[in-house]
Amino acid sequence: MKLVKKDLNDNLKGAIIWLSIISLLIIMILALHPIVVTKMNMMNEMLEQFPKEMINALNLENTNFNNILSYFFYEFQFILLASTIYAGILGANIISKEESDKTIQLLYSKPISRLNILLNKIIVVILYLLVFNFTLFTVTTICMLFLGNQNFDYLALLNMYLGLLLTQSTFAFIGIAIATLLKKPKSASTITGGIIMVTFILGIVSKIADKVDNLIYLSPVNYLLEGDFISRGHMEIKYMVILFIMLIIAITVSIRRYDRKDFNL
Amino acid sequence: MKKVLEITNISKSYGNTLAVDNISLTVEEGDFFGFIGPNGAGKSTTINCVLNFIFQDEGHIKVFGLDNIKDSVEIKKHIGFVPGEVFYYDNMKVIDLLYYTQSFHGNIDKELLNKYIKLFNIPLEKEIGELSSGNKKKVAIVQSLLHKPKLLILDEPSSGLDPLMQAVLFKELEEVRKQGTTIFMSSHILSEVQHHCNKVAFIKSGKIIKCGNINDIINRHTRIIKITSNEIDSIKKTLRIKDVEDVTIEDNTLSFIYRNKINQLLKDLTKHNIKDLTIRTPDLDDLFITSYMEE
Repeated sequence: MKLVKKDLNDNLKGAIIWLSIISLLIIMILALHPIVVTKMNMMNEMLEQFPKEMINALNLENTNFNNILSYFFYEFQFILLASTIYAGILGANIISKEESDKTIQLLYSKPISRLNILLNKIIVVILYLLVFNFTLFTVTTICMLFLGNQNFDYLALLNMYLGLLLTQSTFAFIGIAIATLLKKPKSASTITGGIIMVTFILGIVSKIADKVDNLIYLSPVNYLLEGDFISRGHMEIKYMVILFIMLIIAITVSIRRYDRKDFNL
Repeated sequence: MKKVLEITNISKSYGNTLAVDNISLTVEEGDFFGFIGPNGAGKSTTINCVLNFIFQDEGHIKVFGLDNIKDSVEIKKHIGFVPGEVFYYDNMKVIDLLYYTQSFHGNIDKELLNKYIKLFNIPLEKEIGELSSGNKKKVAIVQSLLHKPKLLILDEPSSGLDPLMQAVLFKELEEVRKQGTTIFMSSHILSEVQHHCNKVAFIKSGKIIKCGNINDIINRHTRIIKITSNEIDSIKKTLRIKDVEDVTIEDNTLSFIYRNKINQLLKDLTKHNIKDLTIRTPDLDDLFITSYMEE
């Protein structure tokens, strides 16, 4: 518990900064909705000029800007990307920092197993992601209510954040796995961030042409955005399963590798 | 005597570099064991293997009769460790760090904590990041001693400490040794090893080249002789080859290691005109230099 407490404390500042920025982004996005609604005619005319591929690439194919949840879901892709990068960096850093700062030399000279160190750090990541999503869900709900939208689908919004939690958790564990796999784990967060960006771009590319639509499977960060989320009310089950399998693989790799790893001292 | 640390035929490579090459040594209960070697000889790699920071490629290590990998948690309940270079949590206050590290061993002994704070003059309210390397080393020493370990592993413990603090450290180490703690210390400072250790191992390029009781290694019957005279060549001829080693001549001075009764040598020298003569017991420095100069 002392290790969890210490790591929660060490990562608090970063969490507050990311949460504040993303909350502010949500407030700004939702505050703009009434203006977007008044400009709908102009926007529809503009969108009609766009080729279908571009509409798909911009995730606009199922978007109804009059519906606040549909509008928010469109903007959510940016929140999804930023939040997933945060989760990936959190996972990678929580493991790599102990090694790159060489403080693992103190921690592991104490009577604690490698598995216990790893599990304590995983608990910290999960706690932060839970708090992160709960806070963002609360901020979004309050903003929507404040803007006079009491009839939106709460369950769909909740599922949106549960989907975000699953995506974040998967990439946090991928970050942890990368940190355990690297001999010099200092660059783990950069590599994880890079993977997230590349897979996000692959997701956009997959929508441009039918020939490459299978690329979406290489873009787990985009799974939540796939298909008509608003009318379905949740993430597609097959993508949830893939994310879950990736998460399990990442945890298994991390545990096996961390238990046999030479610390870089 | 109970074996506290048993290293048997361990090897460790980093890529193509063999850092530790099939080394074995045994530390018994109550020993103050000096582990000597130049930079890059394999001292820290050996310590890192013992503490399971890294895994040995071959061989095995037992601490208190337990396997260093499988029983790492049990072993570390009774180990205190001071690293060569201290890397602790920079944003943590010293007092918080001491409480945090001791929480892994149970409740902190406040009386002992107060004793060490006074003894080592520890700045409790400062953050680790604000401390000099000497003060960081003192914090590392205190945290390693607070849970009264059965085995202390010290990697260059006196580096960064002023001479006064070094004296305090070794006095305290002698004290904890009397209370039953076994000490395994790597050091560059040979005089401190000679003064405090009862056993010593020399490591060179990953191999143990000498290991054993310090008195046996230094060999109290050996003397280092330095003679200044105008008759150096004729003196050299009178020396029996089997009695001398490492003979060097510089200007009018003849130096050598002598391994026989000193009376015999003095008798031989009376026939010559001697300007100056020094006879001394070799120390670890001499041994270190001769051992490490040899290829």
